[in-house]
Amino acid sequence: MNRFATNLAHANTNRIIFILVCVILGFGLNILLASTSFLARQEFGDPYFFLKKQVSFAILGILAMIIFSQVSWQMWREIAWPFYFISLFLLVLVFVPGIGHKAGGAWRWIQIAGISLQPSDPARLATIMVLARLFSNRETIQSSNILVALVVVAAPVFLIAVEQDLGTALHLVIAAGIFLTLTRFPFKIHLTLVFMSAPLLYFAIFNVPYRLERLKAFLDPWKFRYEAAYQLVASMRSFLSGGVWGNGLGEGLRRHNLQARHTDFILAIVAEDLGIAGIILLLVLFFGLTIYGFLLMTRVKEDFPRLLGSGILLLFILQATINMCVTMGMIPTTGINLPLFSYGGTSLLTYMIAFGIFLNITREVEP
Amino acid sequence: MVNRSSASSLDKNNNLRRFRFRIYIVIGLLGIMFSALVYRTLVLVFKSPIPASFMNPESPVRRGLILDAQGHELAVSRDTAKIAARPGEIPNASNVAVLLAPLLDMSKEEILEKLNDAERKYTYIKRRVEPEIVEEIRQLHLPGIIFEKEPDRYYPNKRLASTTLGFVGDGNNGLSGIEFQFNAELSSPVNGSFTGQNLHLTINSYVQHQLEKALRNEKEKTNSKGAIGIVSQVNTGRILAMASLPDFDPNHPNDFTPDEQRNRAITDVYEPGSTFKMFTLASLAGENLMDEERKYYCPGHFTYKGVKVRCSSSHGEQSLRQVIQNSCNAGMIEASWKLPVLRLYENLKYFGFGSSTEISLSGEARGYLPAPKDWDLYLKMTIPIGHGLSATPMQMVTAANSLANGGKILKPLLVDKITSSDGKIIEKFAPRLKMNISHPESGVKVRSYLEAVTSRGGTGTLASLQKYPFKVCGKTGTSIKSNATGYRANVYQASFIGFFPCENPEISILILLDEPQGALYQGGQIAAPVFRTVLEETIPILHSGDTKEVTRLAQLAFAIDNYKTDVMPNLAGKSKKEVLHILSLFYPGSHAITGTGFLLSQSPKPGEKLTPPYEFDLKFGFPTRK
Repeated sequence: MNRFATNLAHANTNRIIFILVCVILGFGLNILLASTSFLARQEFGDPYFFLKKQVSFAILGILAMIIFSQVSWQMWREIAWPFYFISLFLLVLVFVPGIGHKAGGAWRWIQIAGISLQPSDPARLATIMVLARLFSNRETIQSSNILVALVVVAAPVFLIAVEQDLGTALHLVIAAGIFLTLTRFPFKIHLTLVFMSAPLLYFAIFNVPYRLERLKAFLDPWKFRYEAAYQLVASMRSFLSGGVWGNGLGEGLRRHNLQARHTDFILAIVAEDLGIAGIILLLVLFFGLTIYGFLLMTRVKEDFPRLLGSGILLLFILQATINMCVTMGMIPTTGINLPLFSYGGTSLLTYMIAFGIFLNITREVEP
Repeated sequence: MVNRSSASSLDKNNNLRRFRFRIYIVIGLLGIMFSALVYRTLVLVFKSPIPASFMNPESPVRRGLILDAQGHELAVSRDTAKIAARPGEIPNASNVAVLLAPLLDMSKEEILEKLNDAERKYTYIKRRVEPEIVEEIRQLHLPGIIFEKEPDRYYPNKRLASTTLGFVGDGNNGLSGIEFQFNAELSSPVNGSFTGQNLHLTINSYVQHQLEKALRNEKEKTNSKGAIGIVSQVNTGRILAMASLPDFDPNHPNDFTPDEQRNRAITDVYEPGSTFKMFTLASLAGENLMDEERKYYCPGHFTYKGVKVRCSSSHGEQSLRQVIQNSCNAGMIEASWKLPVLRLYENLKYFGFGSSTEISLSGEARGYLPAPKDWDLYLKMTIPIGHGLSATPMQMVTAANSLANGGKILKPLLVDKITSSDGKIIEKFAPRLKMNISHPESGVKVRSYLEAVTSRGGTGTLASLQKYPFKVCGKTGTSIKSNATGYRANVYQASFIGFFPCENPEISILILLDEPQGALYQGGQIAAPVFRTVLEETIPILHSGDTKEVTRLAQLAFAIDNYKTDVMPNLAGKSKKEVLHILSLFYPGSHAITGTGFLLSQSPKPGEKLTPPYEFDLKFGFPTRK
């Protein structure tokens, strides 16, 4: 590790990114408290039950971000492959009885030494890392490179999809797809792959009853408001109830109906409590952070850090966008959370580490 | 990897140029995504796909009815009106005020003040005036006085099922319970009329009344803080009665605290205590780990590695059956340890603990079932006996029903159907299967053990029926209540969950008394008798199995005349309760029953020939006082 450690307060580390991440994190904690105090008091006798857990993760996350911002990005080029294989191994562990753990109808969790972890979170980061390494410092691309890239993406996607987590698998496919357009990966192959994946998606949706139900619910939420579209209709009610300025933080009423209010549907709470104003503020923060980050990356000369940094931003903004679209009924329910915002430790920590890496990369930005 | 070291600076620049071009496209796409999300937000707020009546604060339509399973009205809308005035059009204001004052129960000055406000074109005088008074005022033909329809909500049965029904606020919008959950349906007409849709609940008013009466009596007798009861059909998940005390009068919701308006059967969690042993036993049976030959020795406590759990007394050597019969903690823990922690956890999870029952009411708590990683030695000992976890009464009933219906976890059904104001069925709710636990035999086994509880020598003998020869079975439970600091001395919750009839159950009943204050505080002492009382009062209504048997029994119990099933009897003047008995005994079928009180009119007419299936049209009410 030593040879990758860098001096602490490096002048070029981008402070705006650091501040933006912290602002989003703080915003999220406020919404989390507003959305869970009722539930937490009712079920655990303590209104701060969820907040306390999430705050400890947030503190851990900020520490992780600071520590990883001190670790040179060059280390990741060295350990990209081992990191990738470890995360694949963790994905396989989900299927091992006694370690794998079922939650919300899907096998997505593993438990080791009392710590539960969702391996699909680090796996997505690792995949992007390996792709960045594969395509950096290359002028020409051979077909073997293309093949390796496809296998690198397909393996985790397959494992995640088998874990009944189609939303996360799709997120990785889309992020990796857009990521490859930033490299020398040939565009023709892109198009071919898009066409080839269509029938796969068909089987994934129409052969699994609950996905078909979700699709129907998405197409006509009002009709299925007691069944599959229950969450969605509750979420839409939140938007209606919030109006332009919202009911005030913690004042909204409808949240008692929303079941995944502190995880996947947390955006509805923003709408209910802070209205359109709150949603736009949140959008500006998320998209502002990403676009600003991309602009920084256009000024990085080295291939690997530039690609890795962009990949991190892509994972972040695509997951956020998918989650927001679900909450607002623009795409069917997928079960993906809002990064840095939703309740859940692994996801938060992974993104904080990713932003730590990103901060280190910003040192390469040329003026 | 070959190229890395040889990559020239030219390559790097090429890659960078390509990257810049592509990233600008990506940024452009993000801009489009951003705009789409903003647009969608605006749509959701200003042009929502949710019908406007859903959120309309001052809905002009008449709310639909809420009816029970037999069609009795639980909530109705009265045609009240708002009396308003156009001050400019009134020639002699003080004359008008004198006439209106006694009718509106207001002072003359009060009315004059409103009428003299000449700056206003329009002013209201009184809201929600009852129809008879409106008619009297109309007869006065006063110029400048106008009437605006403004129906209000009325609950003819006052407190009956109040915590389930909920209440409406000033804008005639539902604020809690069924009124809140189905606000959209109740306040949106479907056929161009001005009346919303009607809700037909699965609640049976008669059963509900008996349940509430029995709970109220026992609550008073034991000086308890609260009481909860649920009666449900095990094979359909239909809720026939659900009561939560203290309750409130929904006609005057503001006179009561939120605490009294709450439906404790779904919002409150409790530690189930010994009633939970039936699920531990079922888990053992389902995994074929029930050791019926083995003897369990109870020295009055169960101690392992220094952790000690007490038992009510030292039960000595017992068979597993006796362990259940005596509700012995030590024996139960020992028996349950045949099952690995994870398997027990998964079994309990399948019973629905820790997850929503998906009843169509808001504010449902999910309870708490600790994850296996949190099961320390103490929890490993207490969870099999129902401590260290929490559940709502509704979760307990949902889980218990699976032991009586061949292993099906059914979602509790509270709404049977939705109809339009002209009687067409809009939506019919069928029983919904949440999960099949698929050990039909284990339910049979568990019930055969539970029979010991209500038999001689068991903890729940007071639950066994006296008026009827049916066998019932169930489990008693007594738990000490806890708060943030730990278990509280002498603060108890007594409960009983039982099935009727035991061999082939149709009905399950849960009774829970919260914080009984007297000398009697155990489930077997105070909750089991309520179970029996409710059952004995309602068996003629509930029992759908062997009708002949019930007929004979009911005749003994209620001394009802023998009716000929092929001739329409004269039921005039009989109370609704009596008529319902007669119908259930002699004329089963689908009857249209309206109103409450005494029979006013019947169709067919007395003496007419009848052939099954029976379809009577009966109207109840109170004879007019003249």
